[in-house]
Amino acid sequence: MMEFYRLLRGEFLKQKKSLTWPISLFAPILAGGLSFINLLIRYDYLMGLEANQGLSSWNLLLFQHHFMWFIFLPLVVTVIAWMVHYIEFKSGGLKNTLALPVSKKKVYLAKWALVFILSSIMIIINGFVLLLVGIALRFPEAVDFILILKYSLYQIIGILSLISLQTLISAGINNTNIALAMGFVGVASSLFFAQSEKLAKLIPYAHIIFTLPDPTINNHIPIQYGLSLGMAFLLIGLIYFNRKEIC
Amino acid sequence: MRNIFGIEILKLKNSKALWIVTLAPIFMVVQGALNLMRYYDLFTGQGQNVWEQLYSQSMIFYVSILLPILISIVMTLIARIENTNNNWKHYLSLPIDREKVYGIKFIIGCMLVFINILVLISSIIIAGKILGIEESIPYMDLLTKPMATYIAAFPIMAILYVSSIGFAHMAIPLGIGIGLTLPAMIVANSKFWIFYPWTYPIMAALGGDMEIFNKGNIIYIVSPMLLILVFSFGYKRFLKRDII
Repeated sequence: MMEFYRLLRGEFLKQKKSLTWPISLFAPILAGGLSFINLLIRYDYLMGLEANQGLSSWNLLLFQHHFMWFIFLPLVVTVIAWMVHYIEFKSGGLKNTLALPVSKKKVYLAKWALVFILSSIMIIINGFVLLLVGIALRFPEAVDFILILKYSLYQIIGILSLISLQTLISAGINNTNIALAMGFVGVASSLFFAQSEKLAKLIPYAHIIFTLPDPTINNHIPIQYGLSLGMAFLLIGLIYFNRKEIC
Repeated sequence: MRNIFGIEILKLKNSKALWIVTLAPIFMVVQGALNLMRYYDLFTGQGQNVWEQLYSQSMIFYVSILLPILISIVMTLIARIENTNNNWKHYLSLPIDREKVYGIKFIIGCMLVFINILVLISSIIIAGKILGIEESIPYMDLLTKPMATYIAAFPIMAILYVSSIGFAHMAIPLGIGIGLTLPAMIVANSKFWIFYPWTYPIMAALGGDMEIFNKGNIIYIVSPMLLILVFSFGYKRFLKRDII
């Protein structure tokens, strides 16, 4: 356990001067800022639409925000997973790390954990930003903590599958640019995948789309499949990485 | 000049840039075609042209998300080797013309994006044939709109190229590319779209089909102007760049 903790600390140190932290912090602020502007200008119009009848202001905010966030979050997570591995490939550092008497599994797990922690921080900040947006816009309803909490929790679980898949791809392909491109194409086509629930269950890029807490959206997909595929891809990654040649 | 061109191509050989620009649009067209098949009655029930529907289904996410992000990747890869371990100082200390290096790198980046567009057009035509669309192929639309999209993407290419050359860290141009792609659809629906080059490809690709994106030909005047402006700015900075 101590070894894992040290490796994780090492991973954090490696990212100290990189852009992973600013990206993780700035991404939700940017998305929240855009949602703020969107609702500041179009709140009355959107509330007046027939499709939005019966929605509370908080629901409306989440609906509008989710339209961007379901693309933005997976894109940024893909970039973070890429950056965590790119730093190794760039300097040949992975060879050095793996040549040391440390468990390969723990090295991989530390990288996975770093991506997960950064993604979770991003999702939590996103929740806070949404709260602030609602308060700043002076919604007539009381703050819907449960709704935002559910939204954030579903995302933290739903993103697991994407983190595990992108970590596996980034660690598995020596050319990390390919991993990045695969992630981007996957995210760009996620809405297509999401049109079929059967397909969406098996495609990690689409899981985040189903994290919006709404009776019309199947939130079981990110909870069940995000978690199970996340664990499955993590396991595959651990086995693969453990067998990876050092040279 | 030919030497620099050959070397720059060689540098990209292992980056798999060609694979990325080729496979990505194919994947998007496959998605679009499958979506059209699934909702065939909905999309064509009122006598709509099937080719146009295939085009729209393939283009909507390609042009609003994938294309600007692919440009970010391509432009980042163009300067990847020099940015790694600050290799610019070795490269620029050689007796070569900086002007040529800067120009050729950009031309190669633009060529890769152009290949991407060509693959997209071919994929749509092949997908239409596979689907067995009986109507005659609207070559004019299928060729001109993606080409117009390419021209409309000039400012994005220039901005991301200048960022890739200017910043040693690959994440910065990528971050700019992704960060500015996100609001494009929202800005495209507003009156401020002209100030936001990331909306131009959307207008060019979807303008004819969707009334909201129909903004006339102003893009094709503004776009090359912005290209010249941004490219010149980056060019001047590059010429004055310190080797150390």
